[in-house]
Amino acid sequence: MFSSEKFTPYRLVGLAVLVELGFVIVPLVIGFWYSVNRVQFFQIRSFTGFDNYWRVLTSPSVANALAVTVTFSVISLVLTFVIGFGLAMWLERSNRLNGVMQAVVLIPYMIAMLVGSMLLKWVFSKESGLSDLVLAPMGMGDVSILADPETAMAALVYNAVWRDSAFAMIMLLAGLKSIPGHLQLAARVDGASAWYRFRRITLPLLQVPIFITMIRLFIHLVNTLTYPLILTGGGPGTSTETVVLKMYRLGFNDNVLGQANALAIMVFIVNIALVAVLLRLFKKAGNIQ
Amino acid sequence: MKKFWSIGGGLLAVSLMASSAAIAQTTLTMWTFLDINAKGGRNAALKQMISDFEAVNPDIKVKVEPQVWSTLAEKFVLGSNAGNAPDIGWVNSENLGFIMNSDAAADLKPLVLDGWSDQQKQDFLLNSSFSAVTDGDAVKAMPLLPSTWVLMYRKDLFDAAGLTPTDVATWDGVTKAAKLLTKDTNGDGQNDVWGIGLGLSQERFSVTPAFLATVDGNGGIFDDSCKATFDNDAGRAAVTMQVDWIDKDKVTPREALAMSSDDAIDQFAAGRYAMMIIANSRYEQIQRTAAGWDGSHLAIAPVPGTNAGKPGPALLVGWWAVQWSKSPNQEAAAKFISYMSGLDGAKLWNVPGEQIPTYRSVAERPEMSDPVRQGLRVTSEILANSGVLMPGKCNWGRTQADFNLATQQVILGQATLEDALRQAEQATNDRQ
Repeated sequence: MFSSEKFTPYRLVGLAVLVELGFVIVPLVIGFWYSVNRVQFFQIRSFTGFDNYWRVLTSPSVANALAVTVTFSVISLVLTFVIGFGLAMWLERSNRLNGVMQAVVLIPYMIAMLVGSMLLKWVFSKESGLSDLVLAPMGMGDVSILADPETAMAALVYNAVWRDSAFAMIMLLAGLKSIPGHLQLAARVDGASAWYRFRRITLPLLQVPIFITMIRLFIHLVNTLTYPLILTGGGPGTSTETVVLKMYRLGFNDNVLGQANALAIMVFIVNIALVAVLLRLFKKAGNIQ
Repeated sequence: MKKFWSIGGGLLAVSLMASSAAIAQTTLTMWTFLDINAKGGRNAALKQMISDFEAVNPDIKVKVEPQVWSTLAEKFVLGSNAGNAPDIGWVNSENLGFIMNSDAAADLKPLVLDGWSDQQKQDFLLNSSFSAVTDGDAVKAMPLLPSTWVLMYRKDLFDAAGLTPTDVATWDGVTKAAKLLTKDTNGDGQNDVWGIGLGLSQERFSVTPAFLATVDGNGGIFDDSCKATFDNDAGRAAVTMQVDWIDKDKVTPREALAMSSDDAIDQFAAGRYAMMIIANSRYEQIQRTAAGWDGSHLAIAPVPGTNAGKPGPALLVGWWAVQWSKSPNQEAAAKFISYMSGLDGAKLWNVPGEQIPTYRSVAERPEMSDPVRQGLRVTSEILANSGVLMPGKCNWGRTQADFNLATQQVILGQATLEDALRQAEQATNDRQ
């Protein structure tokens, strides 16, 4: 019966649906169930309705984590994008030197996120790191990068920019390569300056890749756990404790799985919104092509 | 006759096959942070223990599945909920709450303790520890590897400064000594040796002076219903002490705010600190990795007290064995737990395991007189004189991090002392 042609589409998508069901929908439903219960020591104790959501929404530490996440994500996004764009423009031409440079720029991205953050932690550590060797001769021997809220946030942003600029570069380089060369040539023949060509040809045709890169980066930065967990531990104090780190701590350190899942569901909704924006951009890109 | 031999031979073969099937019919699974295939005293001790046990009990095999130490308790309870926990699990003191607040662990009183002779019970040094794991009449865990935190200091620096351990018997004494010991040895305007080390990060944290001083001054941190009670004068004084060390007395580097316990211990081993509160189990490692100073100058003193004449609390912590309540091998699992926590097991944990003896008769063995076990001897005495148990039912696994955060917030001006401590207390209460 199921071998008939009319079931072919179902057979083709069936496996994907099952995988989606097993790895996304079921955990999501369990997560939601946990979020409306009081969970203690991994045991569901009592149904609490939306109490966990209320507690998370009114928690000063979650509000602080939200502010930290916005600060970190926005500053990192801007810097990562600008540097990535700059690198993409610089390395657009295909020659031997640029090939080597692309490989060099990609190194931080190729290093495992965890290892990269641990390396930077050693670099920024005052007692045993390289930063003191650089800062001390400049009369800043007392500066402890990871022990000061502002410099710790700067270090966190540096970690993100150092690693993710290469990703932005790859995305934007692909966009640049897709711009037909004859447009630039024609503009040159017409006497257009480099700045004019950039403004009137490159930027408009890169609009979609730029948005996709930014949204993709933003989703990554909002959800990243490794940087704050490994590099700063959320500190000093709660200066670099992002929403995802807070969620991790609620779940795996404090073992209040109800609140952790409530926060996770809210972060999930934000992510869905960001993905919706991304999908619209992809659709727009499809229409352009 | 031929028929007789044929039948007899057949029966013999069948009985041999049956007996070999009877042997190794039970395989126990055990989750521990130890790895019997790795180097190290404790690993070697466990490997020997399993080998000895299996020789005496040929029908039982023990399979060790090494796990990440920090999640053993959680995984055991989750495994129990899912119906696939190991027969035996190891749990650290800070996470006993998982065991005491779930039905994952079996009652070991009838399975293990009731089988101990009166002589063994009298010889056992940790009888009082059962109060932390007793729920009604049920005993949910057996102590295996006791440990505690002590004040480690560099004797060479103490001698040079004319200090003795009695000078650091109180926290006030520690502050005074730390001021004497903090030095800029190369004249570059920056301190090279700090009086006392701290690791105040919220990740990979450990017990700090503020926590111990609060337990001492407050008589614990919980009431009988596991409600945290340290937002008071004792708690404030303890956090203020740490804040002052960094801000006012300048005997601890500000970098401590970003350091984990491991980072700080590394710095201590590298010769940057003169004193630090450290788990006794790190003694041998610090001696071995000391850089820029002779590790033989490492010495141990009791935890300083709040008031003169009374040592601070030596928190009796360590590793416990628990048995899965739904294990199909209850009897065999209990047998191995009894072996690990019994006299034969304790001898191996002591040597080659280099752990604190859990039986008087083990502590009095000639091996303990060896100079290399100086640290173990001193720690045993400290535990005997001032050992304090934390309640097993209460979740205090992250309260140290709450104290760290409170200290950080006050130093950074992110909260007043009162607010920071109130938040720390609330955070601990939220986990109960």
